[in-house]
Amino acid sequence: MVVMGTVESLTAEVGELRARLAAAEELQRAIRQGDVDAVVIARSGGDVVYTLHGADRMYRQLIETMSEGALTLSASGLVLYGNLAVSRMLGRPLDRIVGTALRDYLPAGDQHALEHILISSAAAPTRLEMTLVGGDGRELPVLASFARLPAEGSALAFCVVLTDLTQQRFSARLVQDERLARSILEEAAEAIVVTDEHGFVIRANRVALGLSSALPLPRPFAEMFPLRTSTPAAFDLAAVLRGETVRLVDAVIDRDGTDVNLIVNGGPLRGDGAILGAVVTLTDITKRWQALQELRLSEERFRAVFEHAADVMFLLEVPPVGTPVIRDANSAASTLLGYDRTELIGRPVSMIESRSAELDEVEVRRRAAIAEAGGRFELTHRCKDGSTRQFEVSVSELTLGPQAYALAIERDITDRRLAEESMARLATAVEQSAESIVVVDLKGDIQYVNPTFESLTGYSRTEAIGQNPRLLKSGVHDAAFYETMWATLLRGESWSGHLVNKKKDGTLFEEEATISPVRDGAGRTINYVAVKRDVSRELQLEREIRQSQKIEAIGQLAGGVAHDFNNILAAMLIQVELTSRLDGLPASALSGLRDIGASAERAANLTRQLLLFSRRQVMQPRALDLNVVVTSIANMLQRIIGEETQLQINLHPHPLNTWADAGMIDQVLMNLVVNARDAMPGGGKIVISTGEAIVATEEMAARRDVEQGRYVTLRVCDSGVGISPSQAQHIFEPFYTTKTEGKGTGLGLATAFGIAKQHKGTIFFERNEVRGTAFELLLPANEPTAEAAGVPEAPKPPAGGTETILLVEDEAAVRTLMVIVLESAGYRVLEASDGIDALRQFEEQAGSIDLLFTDIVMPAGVGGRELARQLQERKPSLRVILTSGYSADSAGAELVLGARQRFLPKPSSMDEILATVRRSLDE
Amino acid sequence: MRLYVAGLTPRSMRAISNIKEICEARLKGRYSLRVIDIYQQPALAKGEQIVAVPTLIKHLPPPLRRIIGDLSDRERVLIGLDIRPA
Repeated sequence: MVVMGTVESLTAEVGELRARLAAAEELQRAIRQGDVDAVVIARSGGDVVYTLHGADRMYRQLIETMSEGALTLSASGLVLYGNLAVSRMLGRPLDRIVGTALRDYLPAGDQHALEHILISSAAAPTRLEMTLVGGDGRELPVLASFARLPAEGSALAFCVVLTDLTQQRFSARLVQDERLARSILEEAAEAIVVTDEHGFVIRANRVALGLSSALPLPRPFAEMFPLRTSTPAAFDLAAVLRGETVRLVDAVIDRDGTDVNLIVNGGPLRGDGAILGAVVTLTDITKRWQALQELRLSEERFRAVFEHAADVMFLLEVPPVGTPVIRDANSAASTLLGYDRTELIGRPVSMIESRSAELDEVEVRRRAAIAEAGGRFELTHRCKDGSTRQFEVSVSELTLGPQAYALAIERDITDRRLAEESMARLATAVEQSAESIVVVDLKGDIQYVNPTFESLTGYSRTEAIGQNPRLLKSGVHDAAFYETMWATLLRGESWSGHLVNKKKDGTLFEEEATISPVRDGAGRTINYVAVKRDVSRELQLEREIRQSQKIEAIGQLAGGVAHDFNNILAAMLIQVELTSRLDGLPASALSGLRDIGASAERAANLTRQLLLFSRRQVMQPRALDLNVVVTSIANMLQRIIGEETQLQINLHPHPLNTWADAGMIDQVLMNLVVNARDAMPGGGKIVISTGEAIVATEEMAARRDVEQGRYVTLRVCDSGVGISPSQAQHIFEPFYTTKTEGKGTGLGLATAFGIAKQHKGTIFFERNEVRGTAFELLLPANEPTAEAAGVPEAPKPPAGGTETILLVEDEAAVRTLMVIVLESAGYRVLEASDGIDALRQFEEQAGSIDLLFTDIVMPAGVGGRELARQLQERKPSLRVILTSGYSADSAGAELVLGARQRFLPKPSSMDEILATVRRSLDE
Repeated sequence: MRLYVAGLTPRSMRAISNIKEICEARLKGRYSLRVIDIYQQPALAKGEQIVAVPTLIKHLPPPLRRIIGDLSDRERVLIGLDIRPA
């Protein structure tokens, strides 16, 4: 077993030795044949690789040609070896570098770091970024890699490789820049593409690819982006590639069937001056374009509203201070104001203001305040042609950027204002109409009454409205009357007629009414309007006119007969008197003659009364004292009224001077007293008083129908039955009498009234059914004169004379009797039948004639007054008596008498005739 | 197999090139080759008792064989790798 084991172990040992021998032989062979680059020698300090000559040369070659700097340092930092790159980096030849210290090429900070590496014992390679300062002062950033060499005892301690960082840093920046650019390109919201110089897209960002179908690049731009435009101009990439910048704002591209609106910008891509391609951006403006489109539509719509509005619209720029300026105006503005739009825009609003002065601050602020409150104000614009128009304005503030604007909307209210004014005028006319106006609805209820209605009827508007017009019903008209009226109205026709209605106070009044249906635009009757005229006053006037016409007629009648009638009466009276004087007349005959005389007197009196009340009596006024007039007639009055009635006379203590016809006043007094007596059939008391009165106010004067001023008064009161209201209305009318037929003429008070009026005075009465009636006569007061102070001529006994009288009388009967009367009194009488005859006789016997006694009214040639004038011209001392029963030319007027002229009414008694002749001659 | 080379010397380059060619021709799909630079990994060279470079060492199948040189003698390499009998 041992042997066996030994053999096995020996066999293994032999095998191993053989293998080792083969290996040694292989090594020997390889070395012999030069087939080895290096040998590795195991040593105690570590294995060392020895390179053979060929290998080292290779490394040297490699080191010399590499771009990194390679150098070896001694332990103290001396450069023992440097390759060519080091020479380049340090900017000097190698023979000037080898043997120098590396720190000599470093700045202070890097020297310190280098020292630290040199003394460090770390075996691992150490890297250090440092800066080399070259021979020309140029600095070079390098990465230095230090490797400590393990060989002990060798001068060589470090191998250093220097890598130039300049390029590396530049590249890093380039990389960084490129990344940034790529990022910008990719993240851009716009589509960005880059084409080559042939127009092929070589780069496209995400957005650009999204716009295009997914086909690989490069592709022609036009194929990738088939753009459409609304204008003929297409995107001209060729122009871009020629160096132009092209912009297209209305491009459209189809993306999956949807239009995308694009703005396309193209610019050349240049490199070293040459055009390498184009950069094109495509901006999706679909949303913006749609928004713009909508905005434009909206703006067009509002523009249309602005343009076509019937109202005037202004866009105003409102400065903080001063007048707003027109920035826009619509067509209504130019149409209504007559200005071109261009004439308005940019002008201050004061140009179209009606006031010529600059629009003042106060007004601007006032309007602003109204506008702020959302209100409206009115203003007047001056149009280009100078006319003005009124507008109602509302203003809204607008905020358009920093400047304040306002939109003024102005409605032309000129026509409306005119219509309103016209309406107001119409309303005023209705309101102020003298006619009463009533509007009723279809039911007949009053809807409106004007003030005239109120004052006429006494019903106020509030009382009348809502009532039926039958409120005024007087009961005068029967049912048929109203039925006819309504039937007419319901036929749609107007009704006109005379209505007697009743006022609120119960009195009746008369109206001329026209009632018409009021129709609306469709012709339906909606109201009735009654226009009524109060004709009460008219009727009153009509009655007065009738009255005055009656008096006129009576006057004409009286005047017509008076002349002849008086001549007849004159003849009768004179004849009666002459006959009565005959001796031996039986008593019965004498009595008969007296009755004839009395009747003739009454007839004369009636004629006189007729003339008096018709104011045709010749008036002979003179200054007189009313007290004297009353005193002189008192006895006669007592006789007239008789024993049963007591007469009391209360005279004013002072003379009451007036200018009046004494005879007429006597007449008035007599008439009043007779009237008073007749009012007291069972007797009573009549009081006559005189006094003064002053009509101080216009109102009083109007009421009494006299002038303002001082008056003398004559008052006659009775204690009789008085006058009823119905009598009072007619009391001064002629032929009105309450007396039984035959007892009165009905002329007494009418005559008194006529006389009063002829004297510019008046007569009125106060009635009191308990205490009787008082009549009062007012005559204008007159300043006292010497004549007035004198008493009236006392009736003297008729006396005769021997003077020569020229008697002119056309009525033969009267003339004959007059001659008898005058000649019986001793006068010498020359007769003439007319004026011509009288003139002839005067020619013959002018010297002897003392008195001309002539009728005023004569049929032919020269009248009495003309005759008197002519004769007195020739013989101024000639006395004249004018006589007349009625004189048409002097009827109702004052008879103006010249010097030595007198008037004798006809008929007169013999005594009156003779007395007048005597007085005239004795003057 | 492991091929130990010394840097980028022409001989080492040739050795890599030659062995790669022989393996692909004779042992395609049945071999494993690692090229080791003794400058970079001197410790590995020591473990294999490498004294000259380039050296190709065949571990499998045994026995272990060493061939030194640029491996340009194809016959010798084939014999060394026990592909062809000696």
